[in-house]
Amino acid sequence: MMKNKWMRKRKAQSALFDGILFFLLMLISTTIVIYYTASTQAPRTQSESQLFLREYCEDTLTAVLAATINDTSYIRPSDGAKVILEDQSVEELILEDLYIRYENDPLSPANALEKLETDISSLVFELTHVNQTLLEEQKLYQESFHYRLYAEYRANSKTVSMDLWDPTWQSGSSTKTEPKTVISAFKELEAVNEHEVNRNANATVYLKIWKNQ
Amino acid sequence: MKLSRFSKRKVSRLGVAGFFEEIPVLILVTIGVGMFMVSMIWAISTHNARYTDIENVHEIHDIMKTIRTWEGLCYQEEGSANRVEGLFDCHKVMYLSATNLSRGVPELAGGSATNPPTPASRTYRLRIEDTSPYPFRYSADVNNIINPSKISDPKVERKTMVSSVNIKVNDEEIHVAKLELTIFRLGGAGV
Repeated sequence: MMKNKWMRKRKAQSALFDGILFFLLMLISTTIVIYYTASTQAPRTQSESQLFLREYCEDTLTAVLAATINDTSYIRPSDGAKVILEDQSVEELILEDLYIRYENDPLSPANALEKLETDISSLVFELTHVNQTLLEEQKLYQESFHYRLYAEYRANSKTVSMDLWDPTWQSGSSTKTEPKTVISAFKELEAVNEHEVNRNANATVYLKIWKNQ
Repeated sequence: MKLSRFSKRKVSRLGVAGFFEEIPVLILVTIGVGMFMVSMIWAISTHNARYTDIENVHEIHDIMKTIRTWEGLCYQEEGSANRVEGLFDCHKVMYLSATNLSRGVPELAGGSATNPPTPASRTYRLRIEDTSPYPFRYSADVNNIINPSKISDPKVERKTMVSSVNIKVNDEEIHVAKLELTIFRLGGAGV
């Protein structure tokens, strides 16, 4: 009788042990499934997403350069006269800006091109920033972008540049820096020879965009 | 005979007692299996949702490309069939309508070139927002929304893609604009 009772106890312990073992195995399996599902990258891989963004950046640069500005101006460094430009494309305005910088280095007065550059920057800002109402929708490009429009003019081993930053990016600091991840597009400006100063001259414009990080 | 029946019954009583001892084990096994089943269902549904999402993204991207080159919007020189992608005609933007858009880009409303869309195939909204500094702007907002109150519900599934385009007024005046396409409940019925 005693032996029988002891066996019954042992049997119960063995079943409980098996049960715990099974439960642990299930727990481990569940953890593996959850971890694998959560950590596996979405089918829209990082590179694919970058490809869409690069396409957006290229389209935006093309649109910006082709667009015209109805009324802008700058102060001519040689005589301080105000030069008014009407219906000029952004591409032409950037070249004008770079050419003036090339001819008047260092630029004097320093704010001679301020109005011209502000108008170009405003155009990019309006295009890359999304209205608050639109943000409520589930978007593929979910937020507004920050941008940097940078153009370079090189001739006779001399380089001048124009650098326009999104005014809302690092607005508190005097020196702005790009984040680690940016999407960029560039275009060689063909009209550079119109100035006929130096046929070896070339100009390149870059548009860099990034999201809030 | 009676004695032997009694002894058999005694054996079965031991069996009943054994079953009750295994109840904690049964609970453990049930919880374990249940947990695993729930995690598997979650994993499968997550996987399916991701694939649906990528299909939707590719679809909206392709539709966007089609709109950017659609002759019903693109600028064409007189007598020329050439079009530049992303360069729209201001007059075509002004007179853009959902009927023309659904007919010209049938994929947008859930149809295809051979199979025109039915009115409730898919709901979309296309916005062209002129952001240029010119005083007169050429913007458009077309949609085939039947019930606007349903669209405002944040639970309605939607995908939006944004692109940048130009609107040509004449050779001296080219505007810049945001092209925004929203498709509601891709693959489902219209709202």
